[in-house]
Amino acid sequence: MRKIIHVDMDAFFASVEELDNPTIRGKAVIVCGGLTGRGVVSSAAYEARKFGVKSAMPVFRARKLCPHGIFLEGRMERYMEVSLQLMRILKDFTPLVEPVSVDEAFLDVTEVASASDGLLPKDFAGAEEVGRQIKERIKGEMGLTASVGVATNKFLAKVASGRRKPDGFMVITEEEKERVLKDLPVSEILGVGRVMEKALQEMGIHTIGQLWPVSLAELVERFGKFGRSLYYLSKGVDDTPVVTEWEPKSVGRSSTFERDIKDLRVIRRQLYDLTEDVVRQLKEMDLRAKTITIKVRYSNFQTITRSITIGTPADLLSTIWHHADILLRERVELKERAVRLVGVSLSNLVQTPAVEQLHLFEEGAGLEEASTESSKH
Amino acid sequence: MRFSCQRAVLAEGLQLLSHVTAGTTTKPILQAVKIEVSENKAVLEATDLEVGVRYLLEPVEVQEKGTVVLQEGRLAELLREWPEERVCMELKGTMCHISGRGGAFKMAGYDPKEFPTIPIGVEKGAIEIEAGELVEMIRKVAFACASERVRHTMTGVLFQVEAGTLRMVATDGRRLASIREKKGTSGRGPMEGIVPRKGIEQLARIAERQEGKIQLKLEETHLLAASDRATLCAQLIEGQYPNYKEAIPVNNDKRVEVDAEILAGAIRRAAILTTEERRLVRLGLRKGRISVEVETPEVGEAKVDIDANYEGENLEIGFNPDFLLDALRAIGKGTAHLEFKEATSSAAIKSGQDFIYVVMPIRLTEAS
Repeated sequence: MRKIIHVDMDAFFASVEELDNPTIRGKAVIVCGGLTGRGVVSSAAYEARKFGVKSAMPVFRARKLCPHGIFLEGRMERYMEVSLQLMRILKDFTPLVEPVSVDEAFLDVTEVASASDGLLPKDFAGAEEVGRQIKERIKGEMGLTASVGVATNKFLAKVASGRRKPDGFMVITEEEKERVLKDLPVSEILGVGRVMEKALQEMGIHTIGQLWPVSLAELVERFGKFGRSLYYLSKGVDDTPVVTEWEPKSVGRSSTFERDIKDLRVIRRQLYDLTEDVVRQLKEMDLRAKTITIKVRYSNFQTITRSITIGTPADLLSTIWHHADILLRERVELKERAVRLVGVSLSNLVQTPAVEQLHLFEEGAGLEEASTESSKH
Repeated sequence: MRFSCQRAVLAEGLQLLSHVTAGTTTKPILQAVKIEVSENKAVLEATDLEVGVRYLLEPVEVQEKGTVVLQEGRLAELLREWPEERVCMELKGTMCHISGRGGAFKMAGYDPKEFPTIPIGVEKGAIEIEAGELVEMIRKVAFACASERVRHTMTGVLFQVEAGTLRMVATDGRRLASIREKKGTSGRGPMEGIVPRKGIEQLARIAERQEGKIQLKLEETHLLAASDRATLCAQLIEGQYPNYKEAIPVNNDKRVEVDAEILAGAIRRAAILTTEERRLVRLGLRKGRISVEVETPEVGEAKVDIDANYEGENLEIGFNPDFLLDALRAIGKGTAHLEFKEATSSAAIKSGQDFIYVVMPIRLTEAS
């Protein structure tokens, strides 16, 4: 039987801000993607959540709900730094760490936990001890709190870490799992979004326990491949492994303008800044990109992407910007069209080689080009 | 059509043409060879539409004029197995009869009218070059072509005729080989074209079989070449060849003279301890010597010191050993002149006045 731990930092961005600035500790700190206009909340301290402020909520709504909140603009670089510190601590316990995002990770402690005290395989004492130590070290070394869940698989561990937030700690054993899952809303199951939730509600299913009598065949018929996941996850069965070799498929960033923009110079400037960010990220991960994609969303929400694939994978800002800029200026229709959002992403990523053969000629034109167009409302 | 000749004569011709016929094709006639018999001679032809070759069979005894087109592979195989010195071929209707002690064979032919036309020979404006030198030039550069389609033009060899002197250049973007004909031929030119690999290989085969000179001409879309017995027409690669002149370093002030074979031996030995993923040797230049070093984690280390004529500053520079060995192999016996500038810029390897090889280093990082 496996022993999986899920570690989830509490109100991560907001907590980092409080950590860095003692005068705002314990207050309704709200970290936003952008402070004015159309920014959204990216993290809210529990003090702000009391007033109904949530992640992804438009800033103006958060201001209405929590006028006394301390609204701050996010500092991604700082959060990344703290995140690295977190991952380092986790890797001290086991190399089997799967980062899910900057503030969240799974650990497979099956071996570590049983080796430490030679306990019976079904016993959770070893894993529980590891989980508590993780919490302590995060608090001691980082000054932040995390919620930790311990269970026999990733799904249950995540459910456990979410049950007693903030600063929570929970173990779900095989014997307890049905009791814990029974009354949870179906939306707790990873992959159940609003559409799926509605479809399930139409079947009279609101809680995970209500899924139990439904047969695998019926779920597969209704929801296809995901039906199978629903069937097993609802019963607390999840055999997905903790994947340590996490290789990003792409890195990208986009940003929404304060107001719709027609001025090419402003759009270019913004795209350049975003490109600078993603190239930095790319280099930090020791990766190079072959495909450069830019995204433009017009004021009517029509969204287009344009991409180019280059012969030699690049990690130089000058090279990547060169292509992004050409895509913007030559392949995007901007005349008289106001732009709401621009973004850039790099994909087709390869490891920076151990030995780097230099080239005689400047790497030139792209070999393949692709573009897509879509409308989103 | 009816003629006879020595089995070896026909076999030799088919051998040459076997490299021309298409490997896989939707048009079977491109895997065939045409035999055209006129009053006193017989000519073989084959083409895959990119390269076409005509080859004069001689001596032959012609009894009757005519043309037959036969599947090349089968005919060549039959000739290999044929027990007699002479072979006689006769066309009756659409079947080609080959008979003698080896048996009686009737092979179905293709309609000669469907066989593609190959431009004939080289007329005016050609340059002439000793066949032996042409083979040597090809040997010294063609290996440097790109095998993948990095840039299509780099899969071929650039032919350039300036003031009657032929130059060939090949590069794959990481190294480049350039060679100039020893003495200019006749003041013709300028002309220029990129000859694809298949055309180059066929040109070399024709030149190898020639004693005297080869005539060469670059048309807008084709290379034409002629020896006494064979003519070649090879389609050129369209497109802009990289500016190779800019890639040849002119300010490389760290110059070393070293015996090419000794250096090659040192690199070959050191490279034994490299791996596929880490194909890297470091050259260390010190006064009076060059060291070749390899350090491969989990495999081992090698250090080979050799004497060299060097007076400049110390330098450490990394290379893919294969790229160095290719150049040294082209030079063969004799002195190699190595010219360096710094660890991240190109190095030149020269031999005589005519051969220049340029190779980019591998960046040495802390990790390497």
